[in-house]
Amino acid sequence: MIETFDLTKKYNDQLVLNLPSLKINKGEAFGLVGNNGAGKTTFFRLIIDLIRATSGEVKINNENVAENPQWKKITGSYLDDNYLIDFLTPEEYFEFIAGVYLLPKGDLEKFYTDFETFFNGEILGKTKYIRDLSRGNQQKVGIAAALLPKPEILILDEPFNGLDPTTQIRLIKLLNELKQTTDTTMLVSSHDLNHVTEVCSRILVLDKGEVYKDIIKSDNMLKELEEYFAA
Amino acid sequence: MWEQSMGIKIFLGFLFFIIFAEFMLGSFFLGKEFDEIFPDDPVEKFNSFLLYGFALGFMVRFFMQKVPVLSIQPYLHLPIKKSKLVNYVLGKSLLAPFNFFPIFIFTPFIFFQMVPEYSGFEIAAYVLSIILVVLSVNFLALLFKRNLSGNNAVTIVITVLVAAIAAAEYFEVISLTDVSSLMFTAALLNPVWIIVFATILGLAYMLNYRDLTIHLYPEDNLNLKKSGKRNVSDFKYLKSFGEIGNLMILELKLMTRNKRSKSTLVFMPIFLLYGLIFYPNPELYGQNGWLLFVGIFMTGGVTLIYGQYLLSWESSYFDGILSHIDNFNLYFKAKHNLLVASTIISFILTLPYAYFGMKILLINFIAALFNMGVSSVFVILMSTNNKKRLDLSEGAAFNYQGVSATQFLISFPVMLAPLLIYLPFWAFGYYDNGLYAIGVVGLLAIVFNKPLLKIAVNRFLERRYLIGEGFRKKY
Repeated sequence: MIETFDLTKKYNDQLVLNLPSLKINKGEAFGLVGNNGAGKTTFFRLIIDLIRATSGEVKINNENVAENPQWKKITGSYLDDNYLIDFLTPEEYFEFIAGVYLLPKGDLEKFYTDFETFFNGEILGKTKYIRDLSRGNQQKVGIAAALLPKPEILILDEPFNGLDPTTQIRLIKLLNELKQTTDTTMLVSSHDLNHVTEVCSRILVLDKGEVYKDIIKSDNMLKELEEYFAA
Repeated sequence: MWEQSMGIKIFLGFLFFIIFAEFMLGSFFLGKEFDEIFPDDPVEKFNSFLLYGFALGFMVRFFMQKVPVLSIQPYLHLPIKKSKLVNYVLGKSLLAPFNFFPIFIFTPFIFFQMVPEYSGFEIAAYVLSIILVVLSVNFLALLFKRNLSGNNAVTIVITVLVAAIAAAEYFEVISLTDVSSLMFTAALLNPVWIIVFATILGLAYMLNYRDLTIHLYPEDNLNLKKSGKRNVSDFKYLKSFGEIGNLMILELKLMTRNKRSKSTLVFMPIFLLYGLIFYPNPELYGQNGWLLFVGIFMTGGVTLIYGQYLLSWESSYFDGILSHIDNFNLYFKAKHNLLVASTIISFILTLPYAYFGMKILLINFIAALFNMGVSSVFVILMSTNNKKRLDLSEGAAFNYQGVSATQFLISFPVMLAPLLIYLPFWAFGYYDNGLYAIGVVGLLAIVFNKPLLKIAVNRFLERRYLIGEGFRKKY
């Protein structure tokens, strides 16, 4: 589904990401962990073509993401608040996203009912613009918008950050349901090792832009990770 | 980046210097020649304008002066006495440039007109009175602004009130100039007035002090940082246009719901009045194509002023745009449609200028064609140079955030191109044909807008990483 080939990214001659070839399969729940500056966000930005790779390329369904924008219709992502159109109400934002993805009319209604618990009564039906929501609620809007088009590829950068505990648990549940009931390829990064291990079946540990470890889900995955970060 | 921003700073600095120099020269000659313009009792005459001058100052401050309340937020949690913070905020407001303008206006006048006539004691009393009034205006404007700004009704009421007073003055119902003259001439002759002005200043300061002490918490300044959805259109009727309608709705909401874009668009009606300066006497300018510039300004105001910040307007959510939009032809076409629509609307609004002759109508029509065809596409092409983040919640006046060379480059070609087309015709005396030629060029550009827009889209696609990276930088 997603392949990277000798991907590197340099800023002012400083190498911030250096990935050998990497392949993420369809339906895989792929976790990304690493300390600050490990290159997680850079990696995601390269996948969704927000920044230019210094060398190498990213392919989704065998098409280079920088050359062919077809991947956009099947990809849902939320990296940070540079996604949020904050002078819209959440509903207007979802309508805009639905319009961009050309979703049929009924989809939005169904989405609102599906996400009722996740929103916890704090998002819909308010007459507030997104800019007037709390950070946590803004984050909810962004994550939900990424999920709205029922994407084949879902990319979330530190989605648990800023969420309240209840919503964190609900998001884990939501992602796990998605994993079981659909064939969604998920890419999720997090600082919280518990969260990634609960959601992901494969975890890539980045260390200063290099792959430190590529772990396939096992019982002592969490322990392995904790050992690395404790060192 | 550095060289560019340096260049702009030099350019702006130069611009300010010129304006400042002109202002200085103007007030110098006004002060020097005042007794020649008003030979009988120049001082009384000068004083009669003062109330209006201060009223004007009040208005300008109300709209432009920054309320420095928000700047103390970072200190609120520190162990500093509240009264100290409040005094600091109020004291800081004295540094606003508006408080220094009067110095340049009054100094030459006092020097040339008053020094020969009055004693040092009288002049000192006068100067002190003026200072007290200026400071009172400063604090009153702050008080009003903090409590009333953002309230459109109040803005309208104030404007209407000022207009009404000016009208009453004009029709000689009441005479504020007489009051003004009496008041300030009295201040010159009787120092007791200083006490009156000092009391006003004291009251204004105290009211501010009280108001600020009570409302020191950030949430009390909600009318500076407004929240909540207000009664604004959501442009649902554009939905039927499908994908492109979706994008146009977004752009319209962007225009109407953010302070920066709104305060940019507020100037538009003023643009439409531009014609009043030139159109009443078209024969004065008729042969040199000057009126066409007027037409281009009037029908292309939104295109030029709003259009120059295209993309930058969206800098705060540009990653979302980049990752969601797969058809940038459509994305730019939506912008193009709106710019063209703005020209059509402006053209319709300028129809009454036909009163000054059908030639004016023709000129406006040709200008509209040119704007629809050429300016709109050109502005979009230039917008691909924008890569500075822009904060939508700040006002537009004196705001240079997001300004780069693009903004200065944009208007030159739009203004020069018609001139270049016109020039050869003009040289041979075919004035009208020159106008038609500009219209034809506009029309051709409208017909071929698709391939022309494609050039802009391709340039955007080449530069998208650069633009995205620039927009991500907060500063």
